Formats: sequence, structure tokens, C-alpha cells
Amino acid sequence: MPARGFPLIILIAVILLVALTSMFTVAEQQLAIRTQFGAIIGEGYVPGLHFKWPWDQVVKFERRILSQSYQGETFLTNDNRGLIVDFYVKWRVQNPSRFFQATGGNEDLASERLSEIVRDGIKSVVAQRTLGDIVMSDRRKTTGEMLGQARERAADLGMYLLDVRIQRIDLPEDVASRVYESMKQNFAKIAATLRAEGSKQAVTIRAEAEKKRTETIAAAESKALTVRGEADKEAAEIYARAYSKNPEFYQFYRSLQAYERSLGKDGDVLVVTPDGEFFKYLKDPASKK
Amino acid sequence: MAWNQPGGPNKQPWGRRPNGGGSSLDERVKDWQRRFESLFRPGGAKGGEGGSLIVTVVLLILVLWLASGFFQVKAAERGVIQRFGKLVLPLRKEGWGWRWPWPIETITKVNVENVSSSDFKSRVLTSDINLIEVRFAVQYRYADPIKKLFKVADPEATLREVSEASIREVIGRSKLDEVLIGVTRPQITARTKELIQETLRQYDTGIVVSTVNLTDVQVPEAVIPSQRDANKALADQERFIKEAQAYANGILPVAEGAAARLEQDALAYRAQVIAQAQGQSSRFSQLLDAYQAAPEVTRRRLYLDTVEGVLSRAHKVIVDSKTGGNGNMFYLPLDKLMERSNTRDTSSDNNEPSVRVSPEPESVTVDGRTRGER
Repeated sequence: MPARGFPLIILIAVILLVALTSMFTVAEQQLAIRTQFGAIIGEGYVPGLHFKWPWDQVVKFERRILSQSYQGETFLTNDNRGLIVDFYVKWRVQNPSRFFQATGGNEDLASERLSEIVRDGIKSVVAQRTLGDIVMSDRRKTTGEMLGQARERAADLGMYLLDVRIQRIDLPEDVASRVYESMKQNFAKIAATLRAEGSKQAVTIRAEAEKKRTETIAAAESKALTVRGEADKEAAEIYARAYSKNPEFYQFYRSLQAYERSLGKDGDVLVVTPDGEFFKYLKDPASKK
Repeated sequence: MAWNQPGGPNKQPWGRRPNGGGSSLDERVKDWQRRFESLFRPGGAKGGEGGSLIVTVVLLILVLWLASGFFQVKAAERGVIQRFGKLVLPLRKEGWGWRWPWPIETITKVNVENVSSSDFKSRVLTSDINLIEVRFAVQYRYADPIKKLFKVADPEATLREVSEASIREVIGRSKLDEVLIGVTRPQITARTKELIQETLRQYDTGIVVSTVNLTDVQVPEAVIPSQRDANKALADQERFIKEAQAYANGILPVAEGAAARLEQDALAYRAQVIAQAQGQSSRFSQLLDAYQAAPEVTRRRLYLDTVEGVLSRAHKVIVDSKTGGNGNMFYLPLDKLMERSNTRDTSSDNNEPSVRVSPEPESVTVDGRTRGER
């Protein structure tokens, strides 16, 4: 038993090696082809365990949808404006053996071939439209136009082109700064309009207030004058009623009042002749007239 | 083992330990080593013992290997089992389970309830060819573990691409004002969410978008000052109007006050004038009564009283015209008289004639020869 220990271990190892090299698994997310000395001898394996000759080779591919995005590509629009476009491509391996033959199973090479196909399509799509059209467009429809043709070309490579879509449309920096300028001007215009509108309303409010003030005072003045007029009238009537009892005496009385008020104020110098009633006795004490 | 070989206490890494402390451990290790080596040494002293050891070790490894097949799936997770890569249904739900260990079967757990968030910030073109900076977050979860694992190679990258394309498409069809003003944002996010979800369904990602948020929308850095100024202009507009209203509110009550004042003044005037009229009339009427009782005397008395009052206050120059008439001139220094009266005025400014303590009025009596009638 001890003498057989070493060969036993060798034997087990060899059996294991043969068993392992003649089995392979294909996962749910994979596609596989089997090649023998470079020639494809098997494909279309369902997921699970499979057998092969130990000298066969198995190449596995991604079964799932793969994504490739292309960034910062510049395209010219219909109106000759440069546009920076990012787009992505969704694709998957449809025909593994054709894919293997076309690209050697190299995904990088595949995406390079794909980008050539798609770039042409995007270019023609962009070139048919103006900037505004592209920005406003339904992305799916826009890229849908070029999808059919690109799909045919991709099928030659064993690939299925699920979708191509524009992810980003941007303007080159010089154009962007011009857009900024126009936005600034736009805001400036809005600001000016708002301020002017505010001033206009303010002036209107002030003018209305002043008008109202003037109206109020004028109305009050008118009313006051009316009241004063009525007062004057009433007073005149009162005076007239009293004085008309004896107009002659009123004249005398009022004259005396007027003399009293208007003559002989301070500083007045009266130059009088000593005539008249007042001086009657000054000159002639015996006067009896 | 080199460190435990004899050679002096100084060479031991654990210098503080006494020499005899490790001896039993050392013995055991050496025993194990011997047994292990005998497995691979043909003609070893204890071959039979080694044979049973192989079985033991193999069994142990087998047990350990089988034990590695146990797994636990948490409440929010689903376990996806693949046997040699092939999907084995059903999906495992919450709890413990067992599968054939690797390499026969593998399990991948997918959390179907955890909501992840993906956000990005970017410059976007609007339909009126303005640029706007948008910060935008998408919350999503993997509703279908099978699709997540087997349909799309990188679902997260796909979500990012689709989200970015969708928000750009939606904003690309909106005008700058619509995006900047918050009112239409719910519509924008709703349409974006729809678009993302629809596209993801097309790609079979198994992702369910729960919410789409426009966390921040602003004009580009370079335009911000202008936008601020526009906002300030709005505030200015309101301020202008408020100032004008304040002015209006200030002057109108003042005007109303002035109006009331005018009216009250007029009413006061009316009261005054009428009262005066009544007073004067009454005075006159009573005087008239007295006058009618004795007209001659009353008339004369009134006359004399008045003239007395007038003359007593004034400076007077009495010129007897009858004694003159021979052509002589006399000089009347009126200016001097005025001057003197003025100085007297300033010395006593009490002008009320009735209360006044009248000083001696200046009186000049000129006898003789006036030139004219006076």
C-alpha cells in the first residue's frame, strides 16, 4: 500500500485533468462556440454543462445587452453649425460564430467597428437637421432613421444593434459663450422692463394721489367759500333788518364809528380849523345858536 | 521552528517566558509534523495510521465543502441559483437554504427592495437654444433579479445613459422660462420618468424607476449675475410701487385734514360773522331806542363824545382861518412832529387807546396868519 501511494496520486490527478478539460459550462449570461484547431465545430450551446475533447477550445461571449458610449463627437448641422454629440449604442452578440470570425471575439475591436457604422448614421442624421430641430426632436425617432441601415451593417459582424440614441447635444465653447451673452441680454431686457413698469406704476400712483389731494382740497375750499358766502349773506340780512329801522340815524351812528376808528390814531397830526359844532364854544362861549 | 530551537534564551522572541513553558506544545507540533510527513514517505514507520488519516482528511474536506452550500437570503433579497451556469428556478426567498456548492451551483443575491439613487449634473440645451445647468437624481430599484443578472451587462450604466438622454430630450422640448419657473417642473419630471421607464423596458433591464427629481436648475455660472439683476429688478419694481403707495398714503390724510380745516374755518367764520352781526344789530337797536326817546340830546352827546375821543388822542394843529388871510406864511414842521411821535411810539408800544395812559399830547396852537384856507 505504501508502494502504490505515489502512482495513485498521479493517476487521480491525470483523470481529474482529463475530466476538467473535457467539460465546460455555459452560464445564463454567456454564449459559447467550440473550436477545434481554429475551426468552429460547435455553437448554440444552452446554459449548463457540456462536454468536449480536451484539445477543443471554447470561446465565450457576453449574451447580455452591451453598451458603448461615444462622447464629444463633433458633427455639422444642416445650417453648418458644429454640434457636440454624445451617443450610446446598445447591442448584443447575435451570431457568435460570425462575431468570432469578424472580430476574433475582441469586444474592443467590435465596438470600434460599431462606432464607425453608427457615427456615419448619426452624422447623416445631424446633417439633415438644423440645430433647433435636433434639440427639439424625439430622440428615438431621430436615431430610428439611421438604425435600420446600421443594423444591417452590424448584422454582418454578427451583432444585433438594439438601439442608438443621442445622449447629449452640446454647443462648442465659442457658441456657448455667445448663447450666454444672449441670455444675459435677455435678462437685462427683463430687468429693464420690470423697472420701467415699476416706475410707471409708481408715477401713476403718485399722480393719482396728488390729483385726489388737489380734488379734496378744492372741494373743501368750495364748500368753505359757500359757507362763508352764506354767513355773509345772513349777516347782511341781520344788519339790514336792524339798520333799516332808522336809516338816517344809522348813517349818523356809523359815521361816528368810522371817525372814532379812523381818525386820531397815534402819531396822526390833525390840522383843524376851529369851526363846527365841536369848537362852537371854544370861540364863542355865549353862542346860542 | 527556528526560533524555538535551543541556542540560548536570548534568541527566543518571547524572552520573558521561562524555557520549559513551551515544551509540551513543541512536542505536539513535532508529532503532527511526523505524522503528516509519513503520508508522503513511502515505507514510513506508521503507514497504516496514515491511510486512515487520508480518509479522515478527505471526509473532512468533503463535509466542509458540502457545508459551504448553506446560504441565507434576507427579506429584501432574492437568491438566483445557477447550476453549471444554467438558471435553476424557483428563486429563493427569505430564509436559510442549501444548494450544491461551487463549482456545481452558485447563488447570486439581488436586493429587490433597496432603492438606489443615481444623480448627475450637466449642461442642457433648451428648445429656444439657451443653456441651463441641471442637477438631477433618479431613484430606482431592481424589481426583476433575473433581468438584472441576465439581460443587460451593466444596468447601472444603462440607467445613467438613459436618464441623461431622457432629461435632455424633455428639457430640449421646453423653453428656458418653463424650466426655470418651478411650476412646470412636476410635468418635466413626470415626462422624464415615463421616458426613462419606457426606454428601460425596451432594454429589459428589470429596473423600476420610483422617482425622478430635478434637484437643481440654474442658468450657467456666467449668466447668474444677470439673472440676479433681473430678480432684483422684480424686487425694485415692487419697491417702487410700495414707495409710491406709501407716499399716497402719506399725503391723502394730510389733504383730508387740510380740507377739514378749511371747512371748520368756514364754519367758525360763519359763527363769528353772524354773532357779530347780531351783536351789532342789537347794540344799534338799543341805541336807537334811546335815541328815539331823546333824539336831539343823544345825537349831540354821541357827536361830542366821538370828536372828543378823536381829538384827545391826536396831535393837532388848530388853524384859525378867519384870523388869517393877509398872506403871511407860517412854518409847520410836520416831519419833526412825526419824528417825535415815533420816538414816543417806540418807548411805549401799548396801542390800545382805551386802556392807554396817554401822555400829554403834543399840541401846537398857531395863532394868526395862515396862507390858505387852513
